This record gives sequence, C-alpha cells and structure tokens, in this order.
Amino acid sequence: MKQTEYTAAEHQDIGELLPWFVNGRLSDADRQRVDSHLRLCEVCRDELAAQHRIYREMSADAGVEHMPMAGLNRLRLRIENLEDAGTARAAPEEASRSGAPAGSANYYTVTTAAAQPANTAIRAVFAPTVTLSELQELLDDAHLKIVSGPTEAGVYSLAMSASPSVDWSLRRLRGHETVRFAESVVPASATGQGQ
Amino acid sequence: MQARFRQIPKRQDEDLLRDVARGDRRALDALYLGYHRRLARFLTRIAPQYETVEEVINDTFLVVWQRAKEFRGASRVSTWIIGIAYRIALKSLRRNDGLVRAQRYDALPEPWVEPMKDAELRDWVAQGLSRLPIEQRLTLELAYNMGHSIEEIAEITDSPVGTVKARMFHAREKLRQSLPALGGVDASDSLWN
Repeated sequence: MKQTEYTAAEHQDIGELLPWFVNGRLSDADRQRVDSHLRLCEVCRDELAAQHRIYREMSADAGVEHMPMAGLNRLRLRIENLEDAGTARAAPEEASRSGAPAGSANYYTVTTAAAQPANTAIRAVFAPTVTLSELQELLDDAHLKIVSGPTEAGVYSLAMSASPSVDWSLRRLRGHETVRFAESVVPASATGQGQ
Repeated sequence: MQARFRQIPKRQDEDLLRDVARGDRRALDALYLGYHRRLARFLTRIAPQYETVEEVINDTFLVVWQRAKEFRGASRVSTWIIGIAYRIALKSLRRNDGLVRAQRYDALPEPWVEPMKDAELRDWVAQGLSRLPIEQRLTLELAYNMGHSIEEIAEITDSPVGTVKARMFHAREKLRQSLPALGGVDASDSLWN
C-alpha cells in the first residue's frame, strides 16, 4: 500500500536527519526513510533546499594556504624540548578521552615552557646543506652563538651574543634562506595562553 | 553526495598510531601530514587566525604523541584525533571569547529580501554562524565542513547522539532566523510545527 501521510513524530525524526542527508553520511536505511518522506512533505523539501545552500557555502574552500612542514618542524622542536626535560610522554590533563586519570601529570602545549640549556634564547633548525662557514656567518649576522646542538633532529640551542634583543636576532635569522625554523624560548606565562 | 574527505583506511591509521605509541617519530610525521589539511580547513573556519589554527593542530599532535599508548581502538583513529582537536579548539575559543564573532546583530544590515547572490549568501552564512553558541557552530562545521556522520560527531564531541541532533536543530533554527532569505521555508513556519 502506498503511503500518503506521515505522523508528526516521523516528520520531526526525518527533519533531524536532513543535515546528514545533505552531507551524504546517513545509513542506507535512513536515507531511504528520508527519501520516502521527502516525496510527501513539502516543508522538508524546502528545508532540504535551504540546508543544501548552507552546506554549499560552508563546504567552499576557504582559500587559506597552510604550510604543514613549518608546523611539523615546530612540533618536532617541542617534543625535543620536552624530551630534554624528560616530560614528552607526560599525560595531558584532558584533551584525550582515554579514560585514564589525569593525576598530577602535565600537559604541555605551545604555550608551555620546557627546560632549556642555560642561556638559550632561540632554538633553530638549519638546512642540511648549510656549511659550517655559512652557519657561522649567519650566526654572526644575528649576533648569536651556539650553546648546544645539533640534536638528533638537527636542533641548535642559541644564545645571544651582543644582540639588542631576541626579536631582533630572530628577524635576522629568519631572513636567511638556510634557516628552516627559528623560535624564541618563551615562558608560557609570557604568551597569555597557558592551560 | 559524497563525504567531503577521503576516509583514511582504518588499518593504516591504526598502524601509524601504534608506531607512534612505540616512539616512532616518522609515524607521527605521517599522521601529522595526513591530517594537517583536514584539520586546518576545519579550524580555519572557526578560528581564522593562522597562528591559532597552527597552535591547535600542534597541540593536538603533541597530545597524540603523548597519549597514543592509551588508544584502545574503540573508535576510528580519525575520530579520536579530531576529537582531541575539537576539545583543544573549544578550550581556545572559550578562552578567547568572541574570537570568531562578528559584529552585534543590530549592527548588521537589514535582512536581504531578494534572491541572494553567492557572495551575499556567503556573508550572511558567515555572520549567522558567528552568532551561534560554540557547540552548535562546531556541530554544524563537523557535519557540513568535515562531512562527519551523526555517530562520529557524537564520538568527537563526547556527547549523546540526541545532543548532537539537538545542537544541530538549534543551530538550524538560529540560522533560519538570521537568514530569512535562505530560501523555501518562511521564517514563521517551523519545520517542527
């Protein structure tokens, strides 16, 4: 028998599923239910058209280019820093939902300071092709000196050497093509975004 | 209609995560690079500042590195990772209240009453979204921007399926009120009347 009516409960139930009908993530059974209801319900067809328009706008590419390698280098550096401090595997407080108690473990984020070698102002990674003389030249240019490194990941810890400021040295460093990554060693409290 | 993102094979993700749990940084690199574009796309829409997006992604994978051993396979790896990003983003958005909010509603132009051009509709949608409560906005983004199913959003947000549907319902209702010319349904005609 062909269905010609629907109940209010069915109407509400189907209405709640429309966003996932639009994004194509309903089960086959639910999709068939929605299909059947749409044939009978003009309100839902109109709502579906409206949701399609919102979906189209929201799924349009934002056009923002991101550079994953730069972020990955920063992540590697943070892990290096944390492992230097022996805390890279400390449990986060809450971001993971593993069920494990957080206890007194620390959760380090970009805004969390890690232990650094004495006098370290900047951590940097250089292109693997950089020669020693080129490295010395650009460090002189940025008024920096090597405190330690490179680590296994190629990270140098740098201290200021007659530099007017860390920012000034960072700008000088970042002006060189051979500098893959350079970051100030900043305490978490300075960023205003601590946990 | 297809889901917006290619589903990374579960096996491959699980293998990588298991290697991460053993301390394999190359596996972490692979996961990071595999998810960066997807997460950046999601996060850029809710926190347009480039630095914030990169920080949330970075924080997410630091947690992945630290917590990989505790993943038990109860959900897909992708859902687990996006769930971590969701919680970090939520925390960041709450800390920076108003980060993605547009101007006050009464500062907006009068509702458009003619059929909209794409750019105008895009602006209205963006402003309508910016006025939604964070959880409702994120639910909508997870469905429409990320292409997640109801069940996946429930896992990512650690919420019951009913809550996901309710957040979506309220988000749609609020959008309808701020987007009267969206098409089809009269503002006074509720879908659930």
